[in-house]
Amino acid sequence: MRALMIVAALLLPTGLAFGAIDFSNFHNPTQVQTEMENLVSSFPTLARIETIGTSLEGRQIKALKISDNVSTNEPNEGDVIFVAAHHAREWISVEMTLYLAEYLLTHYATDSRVRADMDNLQIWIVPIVNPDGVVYSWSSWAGICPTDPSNPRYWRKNRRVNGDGTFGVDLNRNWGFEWGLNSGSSPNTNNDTYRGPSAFSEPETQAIRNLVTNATNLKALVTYHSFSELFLRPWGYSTSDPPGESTLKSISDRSIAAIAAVHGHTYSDTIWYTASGETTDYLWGSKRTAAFTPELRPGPGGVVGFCPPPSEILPSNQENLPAALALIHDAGAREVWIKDHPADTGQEPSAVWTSSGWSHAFWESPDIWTVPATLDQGATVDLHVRMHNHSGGPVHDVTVDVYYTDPRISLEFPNPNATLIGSWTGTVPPAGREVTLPWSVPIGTNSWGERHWCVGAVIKHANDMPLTTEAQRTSNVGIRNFNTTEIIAAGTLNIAATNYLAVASELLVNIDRSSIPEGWKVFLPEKPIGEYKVGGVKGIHRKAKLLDSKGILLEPGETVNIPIRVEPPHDVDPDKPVDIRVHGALVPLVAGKRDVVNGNGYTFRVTGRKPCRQCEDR
Amino acid sequence: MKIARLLLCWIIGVIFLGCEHMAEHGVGNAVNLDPNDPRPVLRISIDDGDEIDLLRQQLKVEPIYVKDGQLYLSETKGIREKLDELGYRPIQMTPLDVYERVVRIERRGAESEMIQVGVELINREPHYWIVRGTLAQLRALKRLGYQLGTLGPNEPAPREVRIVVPTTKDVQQVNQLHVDIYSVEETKLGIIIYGGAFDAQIDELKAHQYVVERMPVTKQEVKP
Repeated sequence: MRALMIVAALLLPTGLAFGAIDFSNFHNPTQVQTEMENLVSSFPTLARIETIGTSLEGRQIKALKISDNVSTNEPNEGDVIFVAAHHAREWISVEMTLYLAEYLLTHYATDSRVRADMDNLQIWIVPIVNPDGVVYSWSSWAGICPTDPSNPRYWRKNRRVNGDGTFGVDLNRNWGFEWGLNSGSSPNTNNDTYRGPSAFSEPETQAIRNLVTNATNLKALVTYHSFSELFLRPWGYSTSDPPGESTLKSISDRSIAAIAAVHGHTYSDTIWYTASGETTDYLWGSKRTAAFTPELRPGPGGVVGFCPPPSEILPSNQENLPAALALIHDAGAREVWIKDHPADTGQEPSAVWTSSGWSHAFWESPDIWTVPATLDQGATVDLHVRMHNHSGGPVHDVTVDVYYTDPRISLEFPNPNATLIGSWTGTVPPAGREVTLPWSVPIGTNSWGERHWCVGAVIKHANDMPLTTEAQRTSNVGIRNFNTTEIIAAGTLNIAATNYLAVASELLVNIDRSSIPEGWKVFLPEKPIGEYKVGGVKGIHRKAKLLDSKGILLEPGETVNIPIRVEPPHDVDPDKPVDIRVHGALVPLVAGKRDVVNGNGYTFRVTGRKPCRQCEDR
Repeated sequence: MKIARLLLCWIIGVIFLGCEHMAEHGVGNAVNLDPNDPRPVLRISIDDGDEIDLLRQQLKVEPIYVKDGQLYLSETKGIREKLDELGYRPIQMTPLDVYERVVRIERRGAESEMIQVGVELINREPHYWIVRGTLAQLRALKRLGYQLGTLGPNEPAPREVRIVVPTTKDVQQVNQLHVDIYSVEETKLGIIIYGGAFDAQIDELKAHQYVVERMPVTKQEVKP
């Protein structure tokens, strides 16, 4: 009996029950640490604390990592990051992160969806980004909200000694995307929106940036703030829409609806003023990672809004939880997907840069094709989209929207300039499914006079919402043929590449030489464009010099033409085509570890025939 | 012996009370007007934050601050040559014109006279002004006989303000004056902004014809 009891005790799930953490009052920094430690000791296989940095005053910045196999880094899994207390006075934001952590860990054993998400993801929770500021904010707390905004309770910044008699940098104006704009941050040390002497000057922002950079497959970041009841998305620095606005808005709209469904508080997505150097802009602008800023309770009001009654904590947590869980679920492995290349298994990233080049041809999807393959203007062809299913069972209510777009304008799907070819809704069985839609090939040319269009499919269903659609990763660099001829003669292949990132970037062009038979020679131009200039030149060249860049430098939106010379061997069979795959990627011109942003590619089917003009010359 | 002890206590007491009195009605402790760093200072033109970040990481430059597209940095060994190689044109600056202080200055005479030396007013307190100035400007004020003192622990103190503006464009205008906006709410009266602002910002808001209501700091604090 005793032996049975011991076995039973070992088999029972350990840990707290949901609701064990007391949210009837705010947690001070010491209590936050204790709650994190309690969670780890209750769920040692699912949670661990990692120190991700040290504040200016020497306090450790702690992250709670939550995942199956938590002690192992699993680079194939997606990462999602939740952070709070960039601003010291926003205590209620800390509570939300503790609540989320407790919910995930206590539901792993009983909620299959939570379990699947935690198995598929590495979730990082940083309850206090700004420990020095938070400690200072708590330093004079006597249980009564002051009305004087200069009271330490309302301290916002970190505690940098600015050297001129003032203290603090606004950590949410210190991020390195569009840092330094006077609209939306201040150069003056005494201001509460002081942006610091340089981007990422503060160890606290460096710590979160490093967490972001080291995450191998980051899907989303949420940074909780207070107050006003808002759900904000990029851009913060500008009132214009970012690329991918439709994706960000769809997540935001869904989150706002999920929040409202709990206690009837409808968060707004508008603030009418700009904030530069803030977190979500960096994530979206530099990394193309979806990022959001929920501003928690209470609703609009004066300075005491930073000091809500503790009775607001639980409802604030409760209403924000479903939105957080939905975002986590979005980031998990998609159940239905189309291949980017023949070897794609559905895991992202589907193509990686290695020391020997690109691992695969990519964004030349074998799962989207037309019958017939050669297109005539105005002809109606069958457009095929093949879907694969990871889930092991049928996935119902799957919608596939198929678009074509002028690639000179956008490669985002959907986007206002993309034309919907058609939609299909139905069930994808475990073996996958092929969908066929009729497409009338456009008559005429695109905005650059080319007969060149791109087709994209966006898969939507309840379990695979926006973060995992194909659209997310196709928009950063476009490499494409000037012509759409199926088989072209050897000579010069003209391609164009565009930087769709919002930052100046280095273009890397790679030719997949493994597919080229012996005797064929393919030459990239030695100096295609973007020669380095020194002295009184634009910053992009100085940046390139600083990084010793070797690629082609492109400003945001800039396009370069790259002639690639192809020489067949003398004894070539003129009718046997050869596939030449050209791929592109961008490396943003920013400091630190520079992540390659995958682009797309094009496969040229080239024959050994002489180009026509030379034929005529003969 | 007993008398000597009493005398010592009295002296200590007088000194202590004297200091308290200074802090309350004077301008506090003396300000150090020497440069923060004895090294020379260079100034270069930069395009954006990325470029500063690159300079910091690749050349280990030590930024002092950035203003109007100009990066001020400490001159370290060999840095001038490296910057030259990259196409920058470093300009040497006088540290007294670069390093700044935010200080208390005794209220004496007209505010306009004090500001003539180039310092920037931040707040008007009952017995002193709070200003930002370069070391050179503050030294000039000192030469003119002004008393300078260090800031108190919670200074400079923003005032809580309530501003009602007619349009969303005005919200951005208020933001551009670097008001620390707490919240914005659209109402029938107009758009109500709550925020923290220093007196100079309140002056600017008023100069833009905004109606600024300074919220009272009540003695009865709000129970959470």
